[in-house]
Amino acid sequence: MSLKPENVDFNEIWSRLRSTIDSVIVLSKVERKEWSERFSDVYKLCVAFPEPLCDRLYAETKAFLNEHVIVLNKAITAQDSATGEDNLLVDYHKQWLVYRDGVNYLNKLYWYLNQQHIKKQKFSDADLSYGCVEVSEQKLEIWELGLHIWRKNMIEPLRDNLIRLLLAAIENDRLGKSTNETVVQGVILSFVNVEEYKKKGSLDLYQEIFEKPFLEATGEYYRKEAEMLLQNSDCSEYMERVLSRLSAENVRSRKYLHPSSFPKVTSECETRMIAEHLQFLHSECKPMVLNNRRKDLQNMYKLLKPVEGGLPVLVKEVQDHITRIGLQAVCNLEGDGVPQAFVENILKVHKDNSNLIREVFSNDQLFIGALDKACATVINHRTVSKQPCKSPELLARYCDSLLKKSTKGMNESEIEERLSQSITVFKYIDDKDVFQKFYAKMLAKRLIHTQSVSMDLEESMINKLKQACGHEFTSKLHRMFTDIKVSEDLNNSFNAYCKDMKVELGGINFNIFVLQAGAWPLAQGAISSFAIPQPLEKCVTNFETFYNSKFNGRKLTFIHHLSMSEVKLCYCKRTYIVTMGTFHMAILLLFESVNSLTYKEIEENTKIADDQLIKHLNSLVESKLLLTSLAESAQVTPETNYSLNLNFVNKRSKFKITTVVQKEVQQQQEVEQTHASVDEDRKLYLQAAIVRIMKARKVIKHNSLMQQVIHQAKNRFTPSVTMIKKCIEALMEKQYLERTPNTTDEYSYVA
Amino acid sequence: MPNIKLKSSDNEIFEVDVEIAKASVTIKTMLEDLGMDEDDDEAVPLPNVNSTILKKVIQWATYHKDDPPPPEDDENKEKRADDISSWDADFLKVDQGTLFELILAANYLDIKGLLDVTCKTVANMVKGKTPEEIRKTFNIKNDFTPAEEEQVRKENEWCEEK
Repeated sequence: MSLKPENVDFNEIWSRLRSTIDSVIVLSKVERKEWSERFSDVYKLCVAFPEPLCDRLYAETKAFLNEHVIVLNKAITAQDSATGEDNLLVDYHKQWLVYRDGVNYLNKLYWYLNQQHIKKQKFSDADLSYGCVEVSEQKLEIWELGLHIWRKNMIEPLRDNLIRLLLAAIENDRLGKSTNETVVQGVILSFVNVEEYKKKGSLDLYQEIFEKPFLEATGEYYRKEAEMLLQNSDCSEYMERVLSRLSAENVRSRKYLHPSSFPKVTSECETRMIAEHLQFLHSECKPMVLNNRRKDLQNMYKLLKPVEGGLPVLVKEVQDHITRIGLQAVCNLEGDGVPQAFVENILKVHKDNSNLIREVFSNDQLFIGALDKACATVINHRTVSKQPCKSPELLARYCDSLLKKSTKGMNESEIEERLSQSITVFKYIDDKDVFQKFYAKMLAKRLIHTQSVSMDLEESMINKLKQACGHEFTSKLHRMFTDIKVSEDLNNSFNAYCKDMKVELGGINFNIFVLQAGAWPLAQGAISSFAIPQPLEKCVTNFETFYNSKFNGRKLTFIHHLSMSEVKLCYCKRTYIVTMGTFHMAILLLFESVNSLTYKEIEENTKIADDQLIKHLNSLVESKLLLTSLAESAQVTPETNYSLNLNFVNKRSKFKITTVVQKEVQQQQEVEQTHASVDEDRKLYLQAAIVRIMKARKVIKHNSLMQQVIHQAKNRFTPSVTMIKKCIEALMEKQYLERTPNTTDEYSYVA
Repeated sequence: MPNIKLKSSDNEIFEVDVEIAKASVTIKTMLEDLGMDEDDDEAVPLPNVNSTILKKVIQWATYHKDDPPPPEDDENKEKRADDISSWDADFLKVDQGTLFELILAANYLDIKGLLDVTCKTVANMVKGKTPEEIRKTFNIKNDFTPAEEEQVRKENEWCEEK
């Protein structure tokens, strides 16, 4: 024997080969020598001379396998009808395992045939996809052939019985009866294995003969199950049970099925038990949310999430609920601590519901969105629709109360934390510019009167606002802040200057803040005329000289009504140190030489405007430093007499005089003023935005302009349409833009 | 490493390292566990390979035992015949009969590296030769009639070197 092609007797070699494969296919013992020699037999047939005999070998082998499987099938069926059908699955499975391995070994023996003959003839993918060849004509490798024959001669004839038994077995498993898991799984997966060699549609058989009827049966089973459960349980129980059924079915899928079926089974179960009962489930959402039944809500979430159209109803309920309790928490607040109560109540609602969403709804984006919407609704809610929303003001006051020196006994880190939390509220505010106005005013007061708890906290709060809203939003606040810091240096260099120039200030400790007019919300109109008391004059003039020498062309305006002074009273039994306004001091200084003066004399000497003067006199009278001839609530006349109280007594040796403010009315006025100035700012902002847009676009439709303006302003406030329209009209009057001729809804930019 | 025995057609036994023997995909397939009793002493019969050739094959496989596995055939890659290593060239300085037997053995035993290098050697023997020279090299009888030969020549004129 050699490797060269030879003239061979097919029948002789085939009969040898045949007896070997007879043993191989049923996995019985084959001698190593016999096994190895058959390799050369296969080779010999394939290279036979004058004609290779591989086609014949293939045909004979195919016939052999066909017959083998038919015999096996008959044996199984016969055994089956003898013993009853119960054993069909077991028998099939047993034979399948043997056959599968046998075919694999056979495939090895036919190595040469596969490699040299069949693989070379195989159609390429391109042939198959262009469909110019019949797939059934294709020769298969021996193991493929074996599997194909198994399908044809074993699975097809037994199909109905196998499927019926498999479905019954799985139903038994659902009912908790015992099932032979290995066999059931083995049989089901044989439908996959038998087609595994196919490049395309290898799951077709499995899906057609098993998966489809299985899913139908599953759907039917759970449809009935759902009906039964609904009759016997309330919603909480129903949800619990559905969840447990779902997870059990999940485990079952993994036990029996091909992975491609897992999601299909789950989705089938969800359809039957959830999607088909959505109305019922949705109707239960409201009471659950109202009564905060967390466990139920969690279950509801789990059930509704995978189902299309499941969640929105629940999300809506949650959002409505948060809005409702939010409004309850912030409306009808009264008394002193309104800002605190407002912010803290909102934060509590926010925190409670954030926790709820985290714990119950796994931080689902839909619910976080609902919380945001609800909070925005609550915070921007207007009690009276015509009036501006109060939240920006309340929040600013809240921050003020935190940052102002007081005896609340919070340490810095506590304050810091509350400030951070207030940013949460801030983010929801629509009218951020209103907040900015109020905040700036209060910041100005804190800085001028040095009432801030700590400059670090002030700065960190400004930075937080910057982070939330951008640089532009806080630039004024920053400038205020730097003014104060720069002033510190300025005072130092002024003192050094005085020393150098040997200027004497008359023993007055002089400290000044130089503030940029544009950055500070200080009402210029409130400045009253004032004759600077003689002892102070030196300070003022010297500082002006100093300042002008340092900075050329800057104008200094003294804002006396905001200045404070510390005065030592030496005419009483004890010495007192009193902190008071500059106007107070000017009035008191008049009494240095006399003990009694009329209103007219005071006015002439100080030149303070009437309303201010009366206010300041009143507060001095109130503090008992001055005595008056005036009866209570009577009108002041030029002849009203004021005299110094020489018997003044106070328990403390250090105290403060503040102007008596008609609190309610004044605060109300201030709020109105602020809102008015916000409106002014908004108009300017909108006009600037419109001009910017027009400059870029030249010609634009009305609606598109509106949209862009609203978009640009969104970060600061929500502009009203009427306001934008007014601004457009104002700009047309100023001839920045005009209506495009012959159109009704288009503007063009006038360069 | 365990050795196995290979038996040639003329009943000579060769003992080789299993890993070396497995360079042949066919032997590797034969050795894969059949669920039969392991009997390592029994030789693997190769009833169509004679001892001369089997010896050469084992020699080649031993030398190349640490080679990386040959790359899969790539349709797009240009095939070359001039990249035979000098050891292989020396190894294949044999008479034509042996060379052809080696090709057959490499094919049957499915040793891709050996099959490639032997076929390339034959290709190199053909390269650049006239039909007459090729006939002489391989001792082929010219069975064309002169008319037929003229016909074939005409059909293939386009690829003649000029």
